[in-house]
Amino acid sequence: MFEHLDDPAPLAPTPRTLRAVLSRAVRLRRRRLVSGFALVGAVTLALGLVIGLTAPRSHPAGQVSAAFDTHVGALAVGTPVPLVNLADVVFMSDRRGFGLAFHGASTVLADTDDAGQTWKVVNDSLPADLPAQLEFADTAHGYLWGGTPSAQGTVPLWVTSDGGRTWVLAPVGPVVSDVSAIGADVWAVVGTRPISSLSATDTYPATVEVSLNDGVTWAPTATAPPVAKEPGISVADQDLELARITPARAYVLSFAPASTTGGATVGRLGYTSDGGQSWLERPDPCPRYFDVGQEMAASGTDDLWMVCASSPSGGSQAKALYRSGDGGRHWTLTAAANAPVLSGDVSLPAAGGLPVGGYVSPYSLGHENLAVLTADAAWLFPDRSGVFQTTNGGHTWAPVSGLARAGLVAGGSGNVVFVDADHGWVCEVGAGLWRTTDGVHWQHLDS
Amino acid sequence: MGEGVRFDEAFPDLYRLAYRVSFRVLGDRGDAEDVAQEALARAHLRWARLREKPEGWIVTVATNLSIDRHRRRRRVSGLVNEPLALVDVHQSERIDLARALRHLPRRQREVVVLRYLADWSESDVAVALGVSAGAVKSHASRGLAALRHHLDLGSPQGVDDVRASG
Repeated sequence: MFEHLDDPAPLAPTPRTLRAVLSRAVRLRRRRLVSGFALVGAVTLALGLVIGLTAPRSHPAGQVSAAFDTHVGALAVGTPVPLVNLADVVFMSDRRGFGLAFHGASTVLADTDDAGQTWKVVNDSLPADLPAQLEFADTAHGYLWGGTPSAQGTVPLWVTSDGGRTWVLAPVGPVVSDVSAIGADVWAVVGTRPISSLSATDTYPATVEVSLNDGVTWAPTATAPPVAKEPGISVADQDLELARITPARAYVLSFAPASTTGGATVGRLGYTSDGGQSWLERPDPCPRYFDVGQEMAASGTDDLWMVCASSPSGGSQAKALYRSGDGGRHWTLTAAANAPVLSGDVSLPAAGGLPVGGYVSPYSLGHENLAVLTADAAWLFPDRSGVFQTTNGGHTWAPVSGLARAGLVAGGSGNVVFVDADHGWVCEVGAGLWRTTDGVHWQHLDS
Repeated sequence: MGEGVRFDEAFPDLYRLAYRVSFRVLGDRGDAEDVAQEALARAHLRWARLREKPEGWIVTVATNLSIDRHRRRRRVSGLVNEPLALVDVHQSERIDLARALRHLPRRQREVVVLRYLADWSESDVAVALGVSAGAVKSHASRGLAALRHHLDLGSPQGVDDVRASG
């Protein structure tokens, strides 16, 4: 009876559409925090979402990618990986990095030793496919978790000690939501019951487990952090983020949107300064009409950035940025976009240059699209938008013109990654990788 | 859809399904694609539990997301410089449809959405929702009657639908 409302010429889904959906699934799962303070080993996840079926770019890399995608059978170690296939990258230094790349509908692990210029297959039979999450503490020790929950309702953690060539199931879980490694000291936020054992009305039982030997053995912290209670039905995309500031200091941010609680949106921020022996609760600054999500980043032990996000629509989304200079005890509204109009709260400023266009959350989460380097400098890459930069602590934001000059087309999605103030990367899914070596000028890397 | 079906194998059909119901409510390709991608992404995260019968879940989620998006779009319209869409002669009907669906009780909405937005048979709806065919007919009839308060469904087709539904 509603056939007359159909699209007369619907576009057929393509492999690119599948990639976009998988990337969005990654983002839904991932609520990671970046500690700009721990820059060495800072993790970068370059995922993206290509909204809509944009026209193929006239670029030789497209042909290379097509050949890579259509390759049948195992991929030999060392096989070149097209940059447009990268979905998630991490860098340990200004030259060494690892990445997850799409290979058709499967996922391969690749690495680079030339600052991202070229990537080669390390492992084409990973134990977890995208939307798996990846983190490396150094060039040998890495962690892989997430992805589609198993039929038993578990989300395991896999550990490598040989640079990704082999992976071992870690004795932690059964549902690993987030992992952060500082050297051999590794923390994981875990659900203590399989997803399949939870009913729609159950709340999510979560705790933090610690390994001091590169993920070989694990033990829970003395106490569990405070977390927002989310009904079990949403466990699969539980909004939990773990931020390690130092080996002893960490934050756990949890968020339960109104759509899952059946009531008000709930956000909670837990903090420990004694390695998890005890947890304090810090106030969550985001007003409740920011009902989709929030993400946090840090430039130091006490300098925190919190971005609050409302429901997106038509490519736009109300956003607000709060800053804390005392470890989350107190927060100050620093910038907002469209929030006064959306919320009716005229006390929120409409200025600040925080872009209305693009989605910060839930499609671009944690440190994937927010890179905070210092108390003044940060980058933000909202989905369906471009890359924005602030040099005054988030009070004003402006598009990064150097990226446009280097060929990055606004409107896509991706992530910003820095290992220090000079060396950074921007990954736009389906388009490739851009690099800066001075924090100002950008180069499009082309394999 | 069998237990062993992989997500990427099921993806094309599920995406088309989500897109169709979303477009019927929203009438905008970009938004419908966005909703379809969101619904499929959420399904991917729950695939271990959905893989046997994902279609009903997909339709329901895509419809709910479309209704939410419709409401949000109305709230922010005029505040953001969005590009004008092509003229949609059915726009007012879509607005009424979204509003009407939003006001239906949950079960009635599920039945109406599966039965009329996704064009499923009564038996398929019954299987998907785990209820009897009689319950589907009852909910469909009441739901359709409720839609009449918001939509011009006085056409013979609308009447036939009610009669056929029981």
